[in-house]
Amino acid sequence: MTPEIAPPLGLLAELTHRCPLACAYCSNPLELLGREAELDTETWARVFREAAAMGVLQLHLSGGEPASRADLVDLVRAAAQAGLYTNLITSGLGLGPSRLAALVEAGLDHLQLSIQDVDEAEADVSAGLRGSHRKKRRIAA
Amino acid sequence: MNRLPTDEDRPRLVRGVKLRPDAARGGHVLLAPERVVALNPSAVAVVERCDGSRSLAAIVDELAAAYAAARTLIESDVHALVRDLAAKRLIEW
Repeated sequence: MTPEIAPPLGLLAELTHRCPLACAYCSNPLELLGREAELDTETWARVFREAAAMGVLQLHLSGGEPASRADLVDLVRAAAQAGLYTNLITSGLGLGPSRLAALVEAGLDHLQLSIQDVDEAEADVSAGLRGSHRKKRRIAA
Repeated sequence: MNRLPTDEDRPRLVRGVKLRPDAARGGHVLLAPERVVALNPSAVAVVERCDGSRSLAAIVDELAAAYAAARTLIESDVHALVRDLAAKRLIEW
């Protein structure tokens, strides 16, 4: 008898491998797939609908830096329409107040902002980009 | 942490918390950041009334009428559930 496999609760979607940071500890330190090899908006929307139908309840949008996707607002809207509880895992780079408002309007439920260190200099070393910690603090505010 | 709820408090879901049907597994769930809480039918009956407009006393009255049960019994069950969900930061007032 084949044991029954329970449907998954969550889906982690790596929308892109592009990222403005170069964190030393990153599990995706390289551009594993280039922009041209990324799934397009409609394909992701179909994946979200199929995942929801399978029993997935929560979607984690990650990368790379998901805000590097020009269609991030459309992807969040598609996820919300599929009925998924949608979480954005981001460095915050590429998110300004207007894009943030658009994401919320599109149905974003939760946002996780990564912080590399409480100390600005140390944080920028970890992230491999000078000034990144200051930008993150601005987005968090 | 909230103080204990009184009859006049109007419980509501905490921002970012959603009550959704779970079509694949049946029943309803509360969805919150990195959490899924499966609710039994009794809990759903309470949580769907925690809309910020009904007082706790009104919720107890409605359920006592709907389930034709002793009000004191419903009251203790509702208070226990609301306190439990508040401790999990899913409901506030």
